[in-house]
Amino acid sequence: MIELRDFTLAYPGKEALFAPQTWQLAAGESLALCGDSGAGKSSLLYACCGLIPRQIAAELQGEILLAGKVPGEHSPAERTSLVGMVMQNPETQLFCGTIELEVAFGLENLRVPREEMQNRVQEALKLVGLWARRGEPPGVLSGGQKQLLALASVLVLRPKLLLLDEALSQLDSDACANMMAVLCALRRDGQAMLVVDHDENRRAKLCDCEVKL
Amino acid sequence: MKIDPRVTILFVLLLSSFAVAFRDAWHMLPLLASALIAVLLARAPLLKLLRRLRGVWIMLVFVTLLQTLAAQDWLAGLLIAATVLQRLVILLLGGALLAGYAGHVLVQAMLQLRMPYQLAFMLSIGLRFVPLFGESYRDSLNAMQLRGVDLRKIKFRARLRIYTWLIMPTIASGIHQARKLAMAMELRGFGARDRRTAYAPLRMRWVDWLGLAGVAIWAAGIILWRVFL
Repeated sequence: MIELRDFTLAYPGKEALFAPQTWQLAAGESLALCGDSGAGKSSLLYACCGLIPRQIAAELQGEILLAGKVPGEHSPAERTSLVGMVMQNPETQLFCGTIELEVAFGLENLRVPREEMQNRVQEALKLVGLWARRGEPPGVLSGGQKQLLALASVLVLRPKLLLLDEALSQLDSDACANMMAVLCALRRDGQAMLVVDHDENRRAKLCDCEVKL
Repeated sequence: MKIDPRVTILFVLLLSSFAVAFRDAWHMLPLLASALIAVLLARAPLLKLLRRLRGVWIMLVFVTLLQTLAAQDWLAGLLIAATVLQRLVILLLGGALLAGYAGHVLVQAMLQLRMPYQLAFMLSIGLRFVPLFGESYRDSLNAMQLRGVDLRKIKFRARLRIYTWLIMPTIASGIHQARKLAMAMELRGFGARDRRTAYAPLRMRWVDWLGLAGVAIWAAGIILWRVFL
């Protein structure tokens, strides 16, 4: 799924963020990245999905391969089917007028036929428990529900690898438990995950192994 | 029953074009009347918009006074001021008509009017950022006030410097949020294809076709009024 060979990265004018990494994550596996703040965990996730260097300038050293190719070399449509990411702040991931349009956004971009789109939106929203509220604007949801919506918006694209960048860190305990229940169900179904989370218990529940940066 | 936003967009485009093209208060009267009727029929949130745009109203009064005072003949000045005022009110009423629709409905209408989708989303997301900027500015202001800075007690020049301290974090946070948003959009395939499919496309009903015919007849009437009267 994803393979690193002596891989590290450095922002312009700065030293390499972490020691060269060599590991791989196969389909259906789950791995946690841990380390202190500023260790480069989020940056490594951005490199895995090709945002570095496409959107954020940085020098890549060594090799990183997503499904056998450098992440940035995949076409945008290919990339959405390979990798999806849920970030820390749901506010910066939601931008559509209603909950169902938010989930449909990615499918519309990929020109998925409407009937299939409706089925997939329904499936994703039912998974996170927001189907009944599909016509409401995302702004009325609580922080935890917004994060669940962000997760549904990614899952609807059926990515083979799910990246979680501190996706649970801003949630209260109830919201966190809801989101964890969904993520654990995904894990049981064999969803590959690369997880950045400061909480040891959550990492242990979601991941098969850990890599320290 | 709300009319299809594409019909409203067409009406507002024509209304605004006529308001900019016509040069005298007399010819603009039917435009003002039709804009008012349209706002009443659409039950557009005019009062809400007027409350929000309080600053614009002060500017309108100022422009009117300026036009009247700047002209050599006060009557001619008053007529010019009336024309300018009518034009601005018509544009404002057009805005009120569009403000009656949810943002995503307007985006869908623009997409179905063949506007490039990148542009339509840029407009809608740009508007979404306005309250976020306000929120970020208020956060910075509160943080400063909690540290004992009372802007009312500070002299004008010093206050200007403080405003730069407030604006910089607001801009920085805006850029940061815009960047994250762009990342989220790219990861969800934005720009992956030249065109998109629509999850909830707009469909014209008989009442919308009737509205469209009404707009065409109205536009013809306005042109005839301009040519012959």
